[in-house]
Amino acid sequence: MICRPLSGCWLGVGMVLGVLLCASQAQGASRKIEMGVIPGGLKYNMTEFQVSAGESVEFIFNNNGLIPHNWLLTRPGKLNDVITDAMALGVDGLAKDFIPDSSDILQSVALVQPGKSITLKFTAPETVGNYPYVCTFPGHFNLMRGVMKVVGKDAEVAAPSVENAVRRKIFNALGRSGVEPFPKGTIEKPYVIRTFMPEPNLDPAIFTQHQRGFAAANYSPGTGTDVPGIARTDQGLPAAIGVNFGEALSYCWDTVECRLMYVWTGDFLDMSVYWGSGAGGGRKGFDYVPRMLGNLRFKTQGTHPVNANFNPAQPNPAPRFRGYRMIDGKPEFHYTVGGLSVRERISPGDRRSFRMDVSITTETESLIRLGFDAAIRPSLQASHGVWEGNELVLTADEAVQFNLVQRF
Amino acid sequence: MKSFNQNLIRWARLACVCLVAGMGSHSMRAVEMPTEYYEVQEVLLPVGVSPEIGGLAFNSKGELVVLTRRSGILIGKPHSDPAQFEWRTFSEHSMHNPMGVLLEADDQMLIPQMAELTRVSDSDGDGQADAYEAVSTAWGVSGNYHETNAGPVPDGRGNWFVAIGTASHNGPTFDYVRGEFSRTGRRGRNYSAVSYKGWVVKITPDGNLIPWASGFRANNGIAMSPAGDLWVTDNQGDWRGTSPLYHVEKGHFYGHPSSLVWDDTFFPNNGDPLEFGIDRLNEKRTPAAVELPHGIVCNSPAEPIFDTTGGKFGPFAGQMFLGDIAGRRIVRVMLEKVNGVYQGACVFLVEQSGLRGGNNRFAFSPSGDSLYVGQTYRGWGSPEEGLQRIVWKGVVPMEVQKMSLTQTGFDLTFTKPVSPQAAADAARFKVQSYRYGYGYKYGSPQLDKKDETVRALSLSEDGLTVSLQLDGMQSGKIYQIDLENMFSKDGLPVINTMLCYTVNQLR
Repeated sequence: MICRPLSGCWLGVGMVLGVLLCASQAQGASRKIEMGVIPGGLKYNMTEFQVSAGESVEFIFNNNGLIPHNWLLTRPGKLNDVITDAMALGVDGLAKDFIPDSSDILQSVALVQPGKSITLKFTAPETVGNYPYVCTFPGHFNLMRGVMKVVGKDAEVAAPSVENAVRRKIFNALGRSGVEPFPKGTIEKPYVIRTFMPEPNLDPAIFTQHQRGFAAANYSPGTGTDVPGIARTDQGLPAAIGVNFGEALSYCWDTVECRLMYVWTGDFLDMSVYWGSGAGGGRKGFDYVPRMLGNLRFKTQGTHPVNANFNPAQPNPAPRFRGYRMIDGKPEFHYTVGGLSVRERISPGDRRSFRMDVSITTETESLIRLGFDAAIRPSLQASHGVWEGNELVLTADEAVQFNLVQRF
Repeated sequence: MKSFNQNLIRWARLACVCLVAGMGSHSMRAVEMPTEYYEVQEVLLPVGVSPEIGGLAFNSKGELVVLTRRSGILIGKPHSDPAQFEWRTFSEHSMHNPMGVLLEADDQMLIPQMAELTRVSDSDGDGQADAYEAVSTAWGVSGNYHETNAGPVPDGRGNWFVAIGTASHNGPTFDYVRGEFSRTGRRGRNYSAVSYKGWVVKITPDGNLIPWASGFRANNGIAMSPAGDLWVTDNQGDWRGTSPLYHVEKGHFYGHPSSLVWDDTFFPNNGDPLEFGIDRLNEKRTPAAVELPHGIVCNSPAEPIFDTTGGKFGPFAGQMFLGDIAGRRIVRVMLEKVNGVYQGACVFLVEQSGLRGGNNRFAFSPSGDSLYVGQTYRGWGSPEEGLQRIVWKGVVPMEVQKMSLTQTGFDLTFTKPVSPQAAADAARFKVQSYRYGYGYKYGSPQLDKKDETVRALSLSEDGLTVSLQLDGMQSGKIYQIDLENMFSKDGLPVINTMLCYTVNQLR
């Protein structure tokens, strides 16, 4: 049998042979003791076993460790003497498998190479007592030892307990967290999330700052070429913020257009596609776009209201999102556009409405204009300023602090 | 009786063959790290906090800042009992795939989100974050789940390096994207439809973007060495035979073509980078300093960290550790320069031993003896989420401390004197070489695989270094050495016995 002496090969043979020997035994079967080592450590995996005085013992040593080990059974009380003798072997030690000539050694198994298995059959001593055993390979004797307890012929023999290095079970910290994919806030403490957000068929006129994405051919990395099929674009907002006040109000604010996009009430978002279901973890969909729950109440329309301040020949200057601060527990978004600095804070309003507290500052003392889509204007009320058609005109002073209430 | 015995022998042969076949040509038993050397401990986060960790950092008070995917930012006061940290919330806002945290002060930190580099701070001193400043939004966002960003890493001059990942064909592009859309960049398996996907960029304090290096695919880990060199890991995939570790230099191209559409010295003059030609791209690219053999060493490397503990974390001071997101292991990298080029070997620091997978982000404790490991599979595979720490117990294990290329082979320097018998036995040093291919294909098998013969061995006088002599070393190959039955003079086995050295340059 050609067999490269890989670890498992001989182990397998040893185990099979061990079974065979056991099976072919007649009555008066031996007590079988199978011992190994703690992987990664320098210990036998059995620090005690019991045998009956005078019985046949079949001792099997499986070296499942990384280096050679031996096994020496010593007379009671003579362990230290045997160890001393073994250490004294010095350079001759290896040739003798580190087994000294000593009458205190009752049985021994010579050095077993890693992955190999040796069986030793012997008769247990007649005298009851504790018989130490040890590995005398240099450096091992400290921890690599145990005791064979010989008990009386009529006494009960306890089964040995094998100490295996248990592959540590990985604790399910994610499951324990209990975090489900339905986050929410409250009126007092709204919840804020940065994520891809749903795009509920908004007015295309809104998207002055986004670029269009386009479908692409499917591509195979196997051939390095395009293959049949088109990867179409999907609906979603790539850089938006979701805020939830509980059932009273949810809204989506976009950091590319720098404006409120839509409002809904009831439940907030189902994050399963991104967060996974239950305590989850693994994404569940092709996209990472959460699903809007509850009832959609308001969608913005038309170009950005601040556009009314800018030269029609150069409309929709790019706003720059500056971030947000928490004011009274609510996010206040800040962006700059065309010389204006705008802060907006949105909160639930009375009955079917939401409120926007706004502050617009500018270098100049000119009037501030906000232009609203004709569909939106009728349900919008402003705390300050004068309406000119669908345009709200504020003085610079008024623009520093005013609010809008939008009914839906 | 005779046929019984014949059957038995047949069983024995079968068992032998099965076991041999099952283990492959190089049996790799996962070796548990004895807890006397390094112990893996579970650090419990509060219930109600999803432990998907994107960033870790210690503040000046020795508290651990933990950035999570869904559950905001926590700060914990460490305890010797890892189940008894005192946690408080710094922010409950969910951020968008945040994959890094850099502390500017105890109450101020920079976090790279999908769409933004954000400065989160507590401006009114009440212990809760109240300001979320958009420091930079200078790169594009296409709506693809794969476009996450790692960093930020300070450049020492007030700017930060950020690694910007490509998109994947396993996710969509939106109808509306942020930034200029490139149809050419959109082509491919992993692609760069919007700006700077697949680049390492430099962000200025004003939030402006300076492109730094291109050619990346899924660069989920960026770090700077104490010497000031910038390092990035990347992931096996299209144009990546195996996962690489790159030394990042300005203006270099690292092999994944899609990002080249944003290099105006290359595109549009040279046309679609995917059609430029494998040979020409191969000539243009800077190869990895160290390649991490897929499946056997590391499947998905994340953040590199340098051991700057000065010896408090064991005998590997100055070396680099990498987490494997897709394997229960931490890899140690032994770097050296040959002819001015970085190369070196990888070996496990800890494998299994109670360690989870998802090993994403690191932080050394202030005391230096603990390496905190933040874990998440990022939602891209079976969850491996949590926070663990690896504690060095102060006892030096028997390991290969350093692997160095010589003119004739390798020097292996051990942490303790080697057994002279073991060191003289060539049969205990199993050497093979192979390389990974480069091209559009997803991953590469091991090519030109060859068993190498150890011609000679010698042991240094102090007993620490074994010099192996091999025949005909080749550059552009990985040399893998598996140590068998190798142990110290006092009988302790080498724990992590598989070493893989990437030879870029010969001496």
